[in-house]
Amino acid sequence: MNELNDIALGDDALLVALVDGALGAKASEALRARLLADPALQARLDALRAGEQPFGPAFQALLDSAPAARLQAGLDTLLAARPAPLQRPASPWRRLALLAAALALLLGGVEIGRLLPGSASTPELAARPPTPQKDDWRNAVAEYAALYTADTFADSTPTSAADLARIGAKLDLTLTPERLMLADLRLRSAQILAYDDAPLAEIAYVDASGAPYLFCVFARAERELDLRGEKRGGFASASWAHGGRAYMVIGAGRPEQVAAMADTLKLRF
Amino acid sequence: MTSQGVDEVRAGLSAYLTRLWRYGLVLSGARDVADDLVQATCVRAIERAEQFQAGTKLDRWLFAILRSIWLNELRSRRVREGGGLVDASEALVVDGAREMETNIVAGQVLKAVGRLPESQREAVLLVYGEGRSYNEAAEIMGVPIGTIMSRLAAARLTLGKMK
Repeated sequence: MNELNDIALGDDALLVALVDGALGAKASEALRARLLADPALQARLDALRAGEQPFGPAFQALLDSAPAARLQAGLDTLLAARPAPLQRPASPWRRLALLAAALALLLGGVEIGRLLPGSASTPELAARPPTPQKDDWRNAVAEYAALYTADTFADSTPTSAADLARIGAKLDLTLTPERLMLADLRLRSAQILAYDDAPLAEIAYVDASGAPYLFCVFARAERELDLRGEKRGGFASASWAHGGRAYMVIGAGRPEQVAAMADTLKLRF
Repeated sequence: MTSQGVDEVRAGLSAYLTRLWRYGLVLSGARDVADDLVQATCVRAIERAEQFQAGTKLDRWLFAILRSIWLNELRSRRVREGGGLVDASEALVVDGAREMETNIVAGQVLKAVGRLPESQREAVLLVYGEGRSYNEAAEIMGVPIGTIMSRLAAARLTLGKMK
């Protein structure tokens, strides 16, 4: 608290500052000297002290009685009705055919860096290590995302909380079903991949029509980046970076859905 | 591209909802008005989010918004409905979630505070209830620091006589 030494104050103000411990050392000393010599002033001090109450606990109790859930619901409605300004590129939605080879790669957890445009079996590509440019991992995810269809998850069992925890631990991140829960989307799978020797978590959701959405977390430190919308590989996507990790959302649905997903997740990560 | 300030406001509002509600209740003396004040503050804060400077004190910014809405928009209506001065002592109650004794004491304190004039109970909440400095309270209430101190002194004198 600022020490009050030089402000010209009335006696009540000085006394209350003394009681509240807000009076500077010099002024306190002077005031105490006056109190010793002035019984009326001392009586005033006593009267002020008499007004002391357990304010802290009382106001805490009042805080605890607030209708927290109702207030939060009101805020959620407002936030949903007023999406954060986000660049929304027009992006044509397109369905892609499932590639059997790509499924095998998916199950094998192969380094994404090898999934470059063209054939993954091209010898030159296999030999060349991925060049670590800042944007490369997002392009790689977009390429990978293009391989997903509604069929990708049709028969699989949804991922468990234990799987999420295990995957999160690889990125030093707490991943729980609650933290990843999204309205209108079902969490389907989570897996750990790698890009350029850094772990990359990919969490997949599907919407009511079965269209896939991916939420990726990359453990490669980047400087803080504000949320920005992008078009990648024909999909709507959004990305940001915070706290030493980079995040990306990409999906087969409408740009607004991808943006809403990113908005919600960014609040939690 | 969203600005950092906008993000901070949207993400931070959640954390301050109950505090804002308590502030609104102490100001207005009515629970339904407190609800309205919180909602109106959220609307205004979201609309003005781009004006908020990221990294500055969000709670002070939000409290100032709520206060302004109360004074400029809701207060006159509330005073009319109350037939003059607002007595907050009936609205400042706590529910039975705590032990009976704690509740009784808290209830007595709040009832007494509720009988204070508006500017005094506001100062008491900000400084004694929330532990803010005189300077912070002065900033939120838009008055000189000496005024805060006089109001706290006046509150203490009244509360001391109520015992």
